[in-house]
Amino acid sequence: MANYNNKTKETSPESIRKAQDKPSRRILIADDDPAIVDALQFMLEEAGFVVESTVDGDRVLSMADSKPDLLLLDIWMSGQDGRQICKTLKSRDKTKDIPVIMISANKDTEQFSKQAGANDFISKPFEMDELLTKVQDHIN
Amino acid sequence: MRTPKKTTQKENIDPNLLKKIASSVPALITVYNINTGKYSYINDTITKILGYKKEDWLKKGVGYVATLLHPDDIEELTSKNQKALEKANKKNEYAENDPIVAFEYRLRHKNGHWVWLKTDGVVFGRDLKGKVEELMNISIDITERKKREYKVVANQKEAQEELSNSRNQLETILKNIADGVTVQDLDGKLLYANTVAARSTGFKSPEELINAPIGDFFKKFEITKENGDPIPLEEFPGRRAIAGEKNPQAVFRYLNRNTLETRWSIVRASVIKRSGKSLLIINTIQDITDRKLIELEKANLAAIVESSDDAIVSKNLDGIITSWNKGAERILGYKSKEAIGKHITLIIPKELHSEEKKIIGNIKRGLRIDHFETIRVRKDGKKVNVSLSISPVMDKRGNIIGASKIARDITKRKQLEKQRDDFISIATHELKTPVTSVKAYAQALQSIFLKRNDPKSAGYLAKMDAQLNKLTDLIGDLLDVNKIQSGQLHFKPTSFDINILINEIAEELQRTTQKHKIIKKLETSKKVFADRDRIGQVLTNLISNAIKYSPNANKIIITSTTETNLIKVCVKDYGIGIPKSMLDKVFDKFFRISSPRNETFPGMGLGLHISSEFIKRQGGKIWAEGTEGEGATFCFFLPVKKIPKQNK
Repeated sequence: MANYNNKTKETSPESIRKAQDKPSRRILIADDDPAIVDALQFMLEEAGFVVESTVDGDRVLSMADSKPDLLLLDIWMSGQDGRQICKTLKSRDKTKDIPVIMISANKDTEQFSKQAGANDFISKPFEMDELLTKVQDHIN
Repeated sequence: MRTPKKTTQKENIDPNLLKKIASSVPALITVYNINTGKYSYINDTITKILGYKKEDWLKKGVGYVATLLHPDDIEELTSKNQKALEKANKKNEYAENDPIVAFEYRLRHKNGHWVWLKTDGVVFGRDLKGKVEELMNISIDITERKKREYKVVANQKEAQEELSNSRNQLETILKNIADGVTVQDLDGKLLYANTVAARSTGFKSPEELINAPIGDFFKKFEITKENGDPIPLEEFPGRRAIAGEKNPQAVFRYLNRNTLETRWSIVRASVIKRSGKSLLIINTIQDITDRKLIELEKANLAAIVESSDDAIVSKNLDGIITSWNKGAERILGYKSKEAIGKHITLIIPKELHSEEKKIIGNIKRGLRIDHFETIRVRKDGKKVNVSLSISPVMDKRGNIIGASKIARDITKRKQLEKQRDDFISIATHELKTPVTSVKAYAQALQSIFLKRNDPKSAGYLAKMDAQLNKLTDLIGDLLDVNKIQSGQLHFKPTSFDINILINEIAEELQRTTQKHKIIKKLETSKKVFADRDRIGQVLTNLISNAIKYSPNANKIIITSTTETNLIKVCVKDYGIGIPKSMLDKVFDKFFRISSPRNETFPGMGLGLHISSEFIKRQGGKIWAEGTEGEGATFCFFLPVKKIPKQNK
């Protein structure tokens, strides 16, 4: 059964160009699946972002201290609950302004991400367009 | 008194002495003339025997005496007398004193009662021609003898009648009693059998049974104890009765070797003795086959109930437990003696006590409850998942008197179900992860190829991405079905305009088909109360199906109409349609339609099932219309307002 959210359309060059117009922005990716981290990095670098990444939940907080422009955070990190990381980040002055987009394979966890203070939510698998739009929205 | 003329013998005897003798004999002696009817001599004994004075008779003559005769005796007496006289007249030479006739008859005593007399008639004198003229009658009183004879006869008659009556009665009783009766001599030879005994042993008549050699009987039947063990001869009741046991009895099993029919009887024996010596053995054979079969059936049922893995419990209408099998002991932890007599709430968790009222309510109305999954509590306090089947129990007159309950322990099944659900849930998530990265690579590559001005390569990557979306949809379906099954399907209902959603979805799906034109006929917008995403999924499913199953058509019509408190949405196609018999089945899990030409259509048979669950669980209704070959129409109702939650 088709999910109408998963639109079958080509990624528009428009959204990529928009991203590239801006000075380079730094995005931190935290996901325990290396392939997803790699693919996201590829996608976001292709869209013109500077990307840092980790598959280790314990490293997210220290890496966030370098104040990236945005954090893409998997809701379930190995060893750590993504929601807890998010809560901690949002409770610390240093990191509370970093926009967090939580990623989950489970659409039903969207409300948990909001409860944890995330700025947005995107479910796996996602459309590149949708991701880039959300990233742009929160970086600006 | 006239002296007989021709007597010669008497000449030597003194007539006075003769008179004296005649008067003193106990017999009544009369002499009379048969021509004149006058008595010439009557002795004094007359008064003693008949109460009359001799002068009475002398005066009145034979004619008078004839009136004293018993009416029953007149005819015989007259005819005998007549014949005797005729005979005597012919025989002149007949010796004078020989009796010519003898008869027994009754005369009336002067007091009125009857006196039996035995009279010998003797020729006393003849006339000159030799004809009998005078007769002497010598009569003795035989009344006492006659009375005795009568009594004997009467007694004998009575005895015989009695005998025959009792025999008849006895035979009637033996014929009619339900039990078989046989009589044997001490050697075991059958002397008597009634019809029941014959029939129950497979013979047509008692005669046939009695005449059959004893061996035939054992050829025909295998006779054993109740449990099938052989019976030693000395244990036969007849033998035991002879041995002095009082009222011996035994249960015999008769297995007919031909028909293999088995019957059971209680055999009782008694002996008839005379002078302390046993003479006859009387056996009664009571057929208890029906009772035995019921007993066996009951025992069988009881064994089934006892050996069942399920808890089988019965209770009355007040909820009091009346039976409790081994399964119940095992599953619920209470021994039967602990449970019987207690209220059924013993095993119902407090929060579910209201359940019992509903169950009893249904039972009282004669309704069964099938596979009702709930929770019961064990003696040790642990909860146990059970599936209940409860049926009313009726008495002989059909009144509902209680309920029998079969509880199956489904804790393990529930655990397995949970494991399966968890597995599917994890598996689908695990499937999503590589799809996510592949999709991301494909889309990033696509943008690279576009930048390098290679639209052909970008196009292939777009196709690859579309296939990945299909895979994502399949995974999504699995996940949804899993949620439906495990009861984890949650909706986020909001009030939204259905027409706007229809437009969005239609526009999106229009992009996937060049062949079909999606036509919308939508009434004035109206809001529905439901989970927008899920309804979007339903619309996508119905429209995608319409496209998929009408490969040769060019249009699909979507309508929305308003009914009281409901919005009706229909998706009509002009494709292969659905056979009438299948209209209800299309919503079953894994149902897939095949076309007349055996075309196959891709899919797992989950889409419509998921759609129907989504609609039903949000207070709506979904159905299919149309005929095979003429396209199909799928419609659903959705409530306009929030429907207050109904207490189940």
